[in-house]
Amino acid sequence: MLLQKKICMLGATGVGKTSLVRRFVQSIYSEKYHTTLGVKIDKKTVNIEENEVTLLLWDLQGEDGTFKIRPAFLRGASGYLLVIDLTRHETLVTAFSIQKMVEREVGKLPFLVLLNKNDLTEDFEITDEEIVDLAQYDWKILRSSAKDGENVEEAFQVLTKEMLKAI
Amino acid sequence: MPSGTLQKETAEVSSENGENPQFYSKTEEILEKTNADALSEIRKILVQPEEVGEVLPSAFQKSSKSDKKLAEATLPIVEENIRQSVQRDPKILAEALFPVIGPAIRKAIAEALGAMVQSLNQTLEQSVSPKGLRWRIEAWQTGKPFGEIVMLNTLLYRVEQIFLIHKKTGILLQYAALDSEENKDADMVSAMLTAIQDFVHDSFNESEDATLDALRVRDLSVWVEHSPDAILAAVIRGNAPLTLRKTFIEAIERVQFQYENELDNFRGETKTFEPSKPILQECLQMQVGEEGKPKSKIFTPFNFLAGSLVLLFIIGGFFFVRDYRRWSNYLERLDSEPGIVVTETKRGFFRHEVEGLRDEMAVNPETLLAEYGYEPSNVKSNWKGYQDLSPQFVLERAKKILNPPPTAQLSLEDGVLIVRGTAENSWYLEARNIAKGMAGISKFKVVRE
Ligand SMILES: Nc1nc2c(ncn2[C@@H]2O[C@H](COP(=O)(O)OP(=O)(O)O)[C@@H](O)[C@H]2O)c(=O)[nH]1
Ligand SMILES: [Mg+2]
Repeated sequence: MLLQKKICMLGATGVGKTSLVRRFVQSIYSEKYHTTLGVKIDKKTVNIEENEVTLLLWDLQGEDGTFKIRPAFLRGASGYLLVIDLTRHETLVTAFSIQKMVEREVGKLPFLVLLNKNDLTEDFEITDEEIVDLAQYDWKILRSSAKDGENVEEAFQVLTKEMLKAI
Repeated sequence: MPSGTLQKETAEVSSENGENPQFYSKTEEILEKTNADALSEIRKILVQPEEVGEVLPSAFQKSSKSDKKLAEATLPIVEENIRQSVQRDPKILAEALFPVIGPAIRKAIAEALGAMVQSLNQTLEQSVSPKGLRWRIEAWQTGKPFGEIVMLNTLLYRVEQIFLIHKKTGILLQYAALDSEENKDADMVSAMLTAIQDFVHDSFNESEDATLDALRVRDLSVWVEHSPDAILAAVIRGNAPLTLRKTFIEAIERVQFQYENELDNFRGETKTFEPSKPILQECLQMQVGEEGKPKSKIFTPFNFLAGSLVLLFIIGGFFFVRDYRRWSNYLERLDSEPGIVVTETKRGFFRHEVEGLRDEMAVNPETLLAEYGYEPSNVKSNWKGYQDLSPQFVLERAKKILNPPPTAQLSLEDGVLIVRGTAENSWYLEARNIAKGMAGISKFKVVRE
């Protein structure tokens, strides 16, 4: 079946949302309008079993570290990637508040947590214990790196599978 | 009964007018007591900012409802605040205002430029035509600038692309375009249009259904119509009349009506909406020439086209007839020329062809072309050599080949080549030999005088 799905990239500024998307798709548009509009849109098709799913990626922009999204941009999303920067502890806190905000605005949606910048092992601010603790929230978590491509394709694949299950 | 007492006392104060010191001091005492209460109340308010904070909004509200005094009183303060804010860091205010002002400015500039360019072009085009004259009169009568009248009268536009978008997700449901080539990024454009909608909606933050109706980028504009679950976006080149909106609204209403359930339960299967394509295609309209007030039916695009065709036929006909006569004259001439036999001719649009036999003694047909108005390049000639046996040609040929001395003359009578005058013997001998072998000569006869 041919399907189209909207997914959002969420997370504090600088965690690597745009880099992950850039790694995943070959972007053709200038990223200039991104700052004006607060969102950048890309697309990529993934094949999951007999489904060909075209993902419309809404890369939402945060504001000065404190992430404030236009709720309107979340509307109609089938799922989202919640990105955390392993080298900045506060981005984990932001992730919690974003998660709450999304549930309040559009309800429960399939999502996947990415612990990004996994290549910067020296600079980790989030400990393994804290990550183990995250298990209690029933989050699906992947470590990723937009720099060396670790788990980038996989992240979108896993999320798409989750979304197809949710139909 | 304190109130009774007070009443009585007051009455007495007023009647006796301070002539009773006892009453006076009593009054003073009461007043003082009330004042003290009130004052302490007021003092309390003044020392507690939270309470001022509570009172102020309603005070402002009431004041602004009844008159403008408060607004006037606070205006200088507000102005000063803004001035200081701008002085300290203009970026803050600029950023705050940008979402409102930015698009408005861009829109205004684009519109002004668009109008200017179009009116300029059309002014140049129309100022000399009868239509232009009529519009000049109209401009003079209405007091509007000529350019504006021209623009009102000629709206040229073309709807190039139609997007049918699922409102909630921004996903492209169906797409139609003038040129059959698919826009492979139509789905991203669709998502972006939705994002822009959301952005504008948030930025202006007006009512729930405050929406963006049009975007303009140079001579392209995007018109947007909404139904409860879908958006129809039309990309238009040029200036379309507002009546076109009706077409779009009808289209989106039809889609909404026909696909009510599918739109409501949309899960990303865009294929469902394929049958809606004809509805979109109907929106791909265009208009050339005059639009709006159909004042003169003579100048409809159709009539213009038909008129051009007729003119083309008349002009074409003229050239056709002229050329026909020229060509037949040329062929007649060739026919009448000795030593030329035309075997085949062909009349083309730009180039004619003629084929035949030509004696080398005959006139060169190509040198005749100019007489009939042709260039050698206009006519493709294919002449095969042959020997014309008419006496004239036989004689000519004999003269050329035998090359008699000036003292000898050649003539031809019934196939007999006759030589008169004198020549050397050796010439006679050679000439006799050659002449015998020549076509059209049966005998070689020497007449000596
Ligand atoms: N080393 C490393 N740097 C990253 C990674 N992802 C993003 N960055 C860098 O982090 C910065 C912010 O990334 P960006 O994608 O703009 O973050 P966004 O604000 O979430 O879109 C950029 O300088 C990226 O090069 C990663 O996985 N590893
Ligand atoms: Mg970004």
